[in-house]
Amino acid sequence: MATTRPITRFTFFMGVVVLLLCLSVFPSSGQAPKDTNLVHVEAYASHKRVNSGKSFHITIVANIKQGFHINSHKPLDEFLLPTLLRLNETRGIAFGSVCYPKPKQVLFSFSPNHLSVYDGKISIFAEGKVSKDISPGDIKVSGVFTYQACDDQMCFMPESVCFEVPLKIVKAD
Amino acid sequence: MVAVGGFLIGIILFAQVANPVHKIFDPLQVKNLISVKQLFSAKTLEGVPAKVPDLIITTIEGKRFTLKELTSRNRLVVVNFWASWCSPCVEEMPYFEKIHRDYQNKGVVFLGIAIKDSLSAVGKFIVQKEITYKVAMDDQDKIANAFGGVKVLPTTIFIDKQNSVVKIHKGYLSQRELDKNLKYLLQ
Repeated sequence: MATTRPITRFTFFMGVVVLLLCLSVFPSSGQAPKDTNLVHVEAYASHKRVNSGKSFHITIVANIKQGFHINSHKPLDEFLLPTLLRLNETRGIAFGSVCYPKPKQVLFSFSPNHLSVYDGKISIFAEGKVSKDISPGDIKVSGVFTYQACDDQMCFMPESVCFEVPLKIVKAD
Repeated sequence: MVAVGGFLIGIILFAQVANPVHKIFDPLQVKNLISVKQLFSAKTLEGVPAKVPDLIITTIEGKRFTLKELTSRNRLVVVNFWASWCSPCVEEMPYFEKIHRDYQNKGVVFLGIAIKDSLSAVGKFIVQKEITYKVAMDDQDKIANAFGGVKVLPTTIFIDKQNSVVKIHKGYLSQRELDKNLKYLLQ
């Protein structure tokens, strides 16, 4: 008569642990990354204090997670969402054009066409000029930075990041 | 041997936890591994229901139907969440269109759900790409939320005649992978 070894609690437990570990990596055909913070955005002013009548810069630094990209300011396809910096109107400040970095033309596995994109760390800036007539005091320069990120297999929802940068306006010497 | 036994017992426990209405999977009758794969593919770990929600869909042409009406009339419904601004989405759609035309008399139906998109862009896009399968807008994310939320595009969900979600694919679905999935799910 054949005898069987009893299943020990430890061995049973290990079997269940192995199962759970397998399930945690079981493919669902393209796992989405858990970290949704794909682009870290910071906004800066070139000066904390600006004399009336003088200029300054507002700079947006976007740190794009490795393996991901955002469309450039001028994507090659009409349907793609461009990366945009918009500065809100601020009394006493006149803003110039926004300067975008030079994009990369990249070929991805899903398409025979190049895409115009940004990746890594990029800076976008705009010049602001303070009116000579503005009263000294604290102001805030605000705006919105919009982008839409993808990797080489999938895309994420468009995002808008609102920012405010404080400035102190001082009387011209 | 005892580790294998523990593993199989773990499968039974998992089956009960994941969906208690399913019958106990008998490890001694491992005949049809398709059932196991279907069970795992329809997992609710990411909030996607195992059964199709009863939704009213309105296409951009104004035609109304429920998702269950679509599944009951076909062998397989392929629901593809997409947007005109999503490059991988637009690259896979021409092949979806080809399969739609080749398979529509064989009980396979495609349904495109555009999310976070504008009607004008979607309308312009499907005319340009000559997409003839049903396309609907999901303006308030109702359809996406009914499927547990759609965080990435494209997301393609395969639904069988019993209203069961049998496969979920996140990201670009290549022609080869789509052919493989169809062959597997239609057997």
